[in-house]
Amino acid sequence: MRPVAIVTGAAHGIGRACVERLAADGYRVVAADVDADALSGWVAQAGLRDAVEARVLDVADVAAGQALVAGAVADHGRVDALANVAGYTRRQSLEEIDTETWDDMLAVLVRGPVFLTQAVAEDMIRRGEPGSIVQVSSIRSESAEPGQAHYCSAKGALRTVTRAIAQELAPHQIRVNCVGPGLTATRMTANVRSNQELNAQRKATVPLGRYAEASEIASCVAFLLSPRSAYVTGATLYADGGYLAALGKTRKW
Amino acid sequence: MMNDTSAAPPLAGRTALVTGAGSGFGRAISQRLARDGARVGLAELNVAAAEQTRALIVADGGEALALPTDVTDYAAVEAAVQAVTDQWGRLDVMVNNAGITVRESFLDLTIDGYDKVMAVNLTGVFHGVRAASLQMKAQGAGVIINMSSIRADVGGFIHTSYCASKGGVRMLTKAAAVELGPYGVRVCAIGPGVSETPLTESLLASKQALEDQLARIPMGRLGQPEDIAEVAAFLASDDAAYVTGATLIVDGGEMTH
Repeated sequence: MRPVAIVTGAAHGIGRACVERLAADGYRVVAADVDADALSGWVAQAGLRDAVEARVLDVADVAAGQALVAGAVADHGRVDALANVAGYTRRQSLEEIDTETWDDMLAVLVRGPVFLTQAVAEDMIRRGEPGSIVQVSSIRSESAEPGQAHYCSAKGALRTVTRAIAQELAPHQIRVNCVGPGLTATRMTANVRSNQELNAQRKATVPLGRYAEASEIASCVAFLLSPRSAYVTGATLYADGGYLAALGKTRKW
Repeated sequence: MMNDTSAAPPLAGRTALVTGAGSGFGRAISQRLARDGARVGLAELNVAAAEQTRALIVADGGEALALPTDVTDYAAVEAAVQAVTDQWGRLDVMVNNAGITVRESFLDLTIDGYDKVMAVNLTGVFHGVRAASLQMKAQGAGVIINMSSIRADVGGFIHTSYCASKGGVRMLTKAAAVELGPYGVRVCAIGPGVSETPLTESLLASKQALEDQLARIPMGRLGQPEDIAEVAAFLASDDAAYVTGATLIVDGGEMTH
């Protein structure tokens, strides 16, 4: 039987790479993104319409997320895996962050994923079958950066809430883990990568000396979603090229 | 999950060296890497146990080499790396798994017990990282996987030396990852929780101890060597190409407490 996965943030970057990887691994994928045109565009172009269904979803809208899960269960009878990938950041000093930008960041990065996890877990528990959920966190859950107070806080919260949820869902054989990407070649880093000097500085903070490809994060997500990681729960797998090993300091002096 | 079975296995053409390959995690990891297509050197103090692992791998259609090795002796570890490269031309995956424990409460801790544990669990890992990294640096590629533990982060009665050694492994992994990254060599660690291996057999022999332990593990079961072997196979593969310096905890959720 073909397992069913939901992936958010599926139009671009890591989310899209997750959809491609999971489809290649044999899943039926319900791919969701707020950017519906971009999503259905690449799905059609990649010839994946048999394996992938494009759905519109703003993850900040909890009711819409719950409806998406209900729809997937109605269509396929089950959801076996969820990858919460949708996210964004803005560079703002603490002074510039107002209550609106703070609330919006946390709605997308924490509140949405938590309630999608809850909805998917309800289906798994109802069926009495195991399942796996992966949250895409970040090195910023551990390592702060100026202008990212809201993003760092949200990613830290996501990591901690994942541990709490993992503990509660483990008796149901539902696993919940984080993947923590480092610098990844996606739209989120496009501005930095287009600036030669800044780009060189950034790459120098990574022991492997390069950005991750989105597919290199997706392979980690796929591993944690698969039964191969059967005893891993509540954990964070950092895929950061070694960034956190020295918190970005790779010089000899 | 359901990869095309006609595709080449993920470690086809690659070679590995696993320390402590005669039992527990080491045996399961050796078998798992062999099933993924790697030819595996089995470094082990107990020669008969290494031969048994080799027989299991060969029976499964794989290729392996039993290498009597005491990881506390750098020359012996170096010789094991040399044996793999002599035999198969290169070393792609080094798994520093060999470990022991001496259970003494901190206040009764003996210098002898402490030294023994550190010599195998931390210095032995350093020996493996050093010997493998020289070969891998020359190749411009390689993966080193070290066995840490949840005890790198969590203390407890009777585990003093073990905790110190595994915390050391976690940090050795980070330090080595930073220096070896520029050469294309990844260094990762696995942090198992309480697992069913010869190392924990005596500890979990009492029903009370086992029940207490299980109550601490959200998934409600002990880890199995196969659980750790799957994670090692992932870290060794190109699927983990951007993972280095990291420790992946494999503990059924115990560390969520």
